[in-house]
Order: sequence, then C-alpha cells, then structure tokens
Amino acid sequence: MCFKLFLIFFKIGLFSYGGGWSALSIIKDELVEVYKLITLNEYLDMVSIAEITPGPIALNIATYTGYKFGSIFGGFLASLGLILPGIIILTLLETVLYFLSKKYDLSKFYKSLKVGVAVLVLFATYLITSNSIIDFKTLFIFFSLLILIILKKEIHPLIIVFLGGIGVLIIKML
Amino acid sequence: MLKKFILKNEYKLFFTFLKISALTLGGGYAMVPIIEREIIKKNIIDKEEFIILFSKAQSSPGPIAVNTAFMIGMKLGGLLLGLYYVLGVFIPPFFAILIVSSFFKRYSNLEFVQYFLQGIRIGISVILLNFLNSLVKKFKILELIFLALGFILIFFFNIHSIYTLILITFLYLIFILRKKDVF
Repeated sequence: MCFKLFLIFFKIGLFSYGGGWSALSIIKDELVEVYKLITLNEYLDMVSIAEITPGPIALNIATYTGYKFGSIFGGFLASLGLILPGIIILTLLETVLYFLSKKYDLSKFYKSLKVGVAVLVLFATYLITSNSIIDFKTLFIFFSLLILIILKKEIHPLIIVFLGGIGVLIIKML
Repeated sequence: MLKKFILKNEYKLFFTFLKISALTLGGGYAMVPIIEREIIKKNIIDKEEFIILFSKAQSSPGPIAVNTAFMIGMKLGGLLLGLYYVLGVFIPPFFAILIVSSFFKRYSNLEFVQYFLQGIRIGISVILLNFLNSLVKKFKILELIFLALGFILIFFFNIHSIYTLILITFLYLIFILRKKDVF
C-alpha cells in the first residue's frame, strides 16, 4: 500500500505544473475516480485543511492521504513521491540536459503547457465552486468574498478563507 | 570544525526555509514572495538571479516552494545543499499535517467544524477564480478555444486530467508550430 501511494503521488507530482491549484484536478481524478481511496467529500475536506495548514497544498494532501492509509511511513512516502519528479527533472535540466534549453527554444512548449494547466485550474475551480455554493446563504458569502478580492487584489489568501469559514459559521448558527 | 560547518551561511539558510515553511499558511504561492524577500535581504542572491531560479523552478512539476528551495540550494552549493533546503521546506508541513489529521479524525463530525470547512471551501473557490483570471487574462481567442475544448473533455467525456493536460498541451503546440510554418 505504501509503495502504491508513492507511485500515485509520483504520477501526480510528475504532471502538476504551475503549482498546487492545477494539481487539485489530477489529485481528484487519481484518488477519487481511479483508485477510489477517498470520497469526494473527504477530498473537499482535505483541500480545505491543506489550505489552512502550513506548506504547499499538494504536499499537504499527499501527507494527509499517505498518513491515512499507511501511517507516518505512508505519509512520508506519499510526500516524497510528490516532490521527487520535480527535483529529478530540475537536476537533469541543470546538468545533463543543460544543452536542451540552450539549443532549443522551449518557450512555445511552455506557452502550450500554460493552456493545458489553465484547463486543469478551470476544472478545479468548477469542482470546488459547485461543491461550495449549495444555497443562497453560501452564494451570498461567495459573492461577498469575490467582491473583496476584486477590490483588494493584494489581500492574503488566508484572510479570504478565514472570512469564508467564519461567514458560514455565523450564518448557519443564526 | 563542526561548529564552523554548521554556522556557514549556506547551511544556516536551512533554518530560514524551516521558518518560512512553518509560518506561511495558504500554500506554496504564498511562500515564494517571502522566500524572495528573505533571500534578497540576506544578500545571498540578487533579485535578477532569483527571478531566473524561480522561472526554472516554475517550469518543473511539483510544489513551487519546494522547487524554488531546491534551485537556490543547487545554485549555492549543488545537489546536496538543494536537498537540504528541500528538507527544510518539507519538515514543518509534514508534522503539522500529522497533528492536524489526528485532530480532524476526532472532531470532523462536529457541526461547527463542518460549517467552518464549508466556508473555507467557498474562500478557496474565490481564490481559484482569482488565480484562473490571472492565468487566462492574456489568453487570445485561440487559447480560449483550447481551454473550452479541454474543459469539455474533462467534464463531458470524463477524460482523466493528466491525459487532458497532455492532449491540450500538445494539440496547442502542434497548432502554433504549424501556423509558423505556413506563414
């Protein structure tokens, strides 16, 4: 099981470009659809917890999932799997494949990758949004936060998330 | 000898990464500007060099904060120093998650915990929308068509995200490469 977790997260790590947000879509497909390790609700809870804990989001999800199925060792292997592809590729690019970036113009490839990544971010946005707006109250909080982020571009993401959390708490408790 | 070894500036930077990783909430994107500030403040790497390192870190897969720490280590002292810095980024969230997940197991059924998480989810939707906006802001009509095509593949045909990523990336690449040949 631990080795399987390592492989799953190695695959996730290999294909998540542009940071944690594009990884969300791949993580959902792998953990919820393909391997059925967790339910959609567990996945959504995991994403929320990962956002309010220190560290990169995808790494937090890896540790969390690994820990759930294989204790500390599982958590370690899953996290290792996630970060290893990037480190290997960076090492190769800096050493043996150094000529690649000198000889070939990779800018077109990265431009294309950006489009691919945008697709995954779009799907992750759809996934999280459609599962977080469930009634008028949550819709109201969503629009309030949206207006806040439009007006105050540089606002720290954590303030947005905590306001959301407190907002739902207050509205539900009323 | 050992004391000298530990106190060398490059090795001390490990604790900077440890500190940043432990204290920055909100994912890797929130960490990078803080890493940048600390590194430049300490006069270890100048801003231009940092931008080059960061763009390399960003063009590789995996968490950006981890890759950035690795690239800084590679630059200053090679592979081992890079891995050492990665460890610094790695340790705090690892133990934080171990602690949080054991708490979560116990309290996840409480109503107010569920409400709070639901609210966080709304916050994440907004952050994602904002991030998506920054990604597609410079997209022209061609990119937007491919973006829509990719979404259709995932949403209506249930194509795995990884295949969609590969497919859209290479279809678009072929498209822009051919366009250059024709004209």
